[in-house]
Amino acid sequence: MVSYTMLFITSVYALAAAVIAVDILERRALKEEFERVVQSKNFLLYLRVFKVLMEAAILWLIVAFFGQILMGWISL
Amino acid sequence: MVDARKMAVTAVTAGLCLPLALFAIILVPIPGLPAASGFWIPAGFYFVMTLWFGVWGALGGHIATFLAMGYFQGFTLQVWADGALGDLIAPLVALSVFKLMGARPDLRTRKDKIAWLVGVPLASLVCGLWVHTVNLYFGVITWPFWWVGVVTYLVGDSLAVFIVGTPLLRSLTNYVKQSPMYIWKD
Repeated sequence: MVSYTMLFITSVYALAAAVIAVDILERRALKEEFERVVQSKNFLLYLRVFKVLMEAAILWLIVAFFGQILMGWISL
Repeated sequence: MVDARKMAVTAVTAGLCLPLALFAIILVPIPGLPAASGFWIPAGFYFVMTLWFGVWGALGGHIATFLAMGYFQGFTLQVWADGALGDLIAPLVALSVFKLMGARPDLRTRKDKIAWLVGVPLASLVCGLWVHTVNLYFGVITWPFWWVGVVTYLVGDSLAVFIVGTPLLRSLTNYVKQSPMYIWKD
């Protein structure tokens, strides 16, 4: 039986991963428009890069969470 | 000269790497070695930031490691400082390899890829040698464990940097190139 805590955390992670997946799709769809707009609004460039880095960090934290369960550092 | 943008790069790198340094550690067993390798995920991020923005990215990784290592019970100041300095040195070694080879971090040409494939393990080796030699002289580890530590460091850091850093460099460098903070002028 999966514990309530595990179910809760997994749901949050699944939603976070889904948001990231949707963001990737959106980025692909708006690639040309983004490159046009970024010529006049340079700060969007930094937002884009830092957002992708943060998304990658979130995905790795999720991987590490389940990795640490396997290693026995986290018990639920 | 330090300006707000450079400080922002350091702050973003430190802010990004700190939660990873605290919580995203996975120990991967290496067959034939009596120790698991720390799969040091934040290294992938501060290597990338250093290859884009130079020493300011490396400084962010250094700050994150220093702060994060203090969290773990039983670590002395020497261990924090030692690991954190190692994490300052490592990305700068990779950056030096790119500079010496005239390679670029977008990893498009053969030269870029070779610089990445050579620079990352070399940087991890230098970092592992630094960290474990200092630990040895401070009596934290003994000689028989020294080479195990260095090898696990080399494998763990290199794997993390390759797995995390490669897609980031390939996908984002073209955007970062447009930034005035980007250190490479084509």
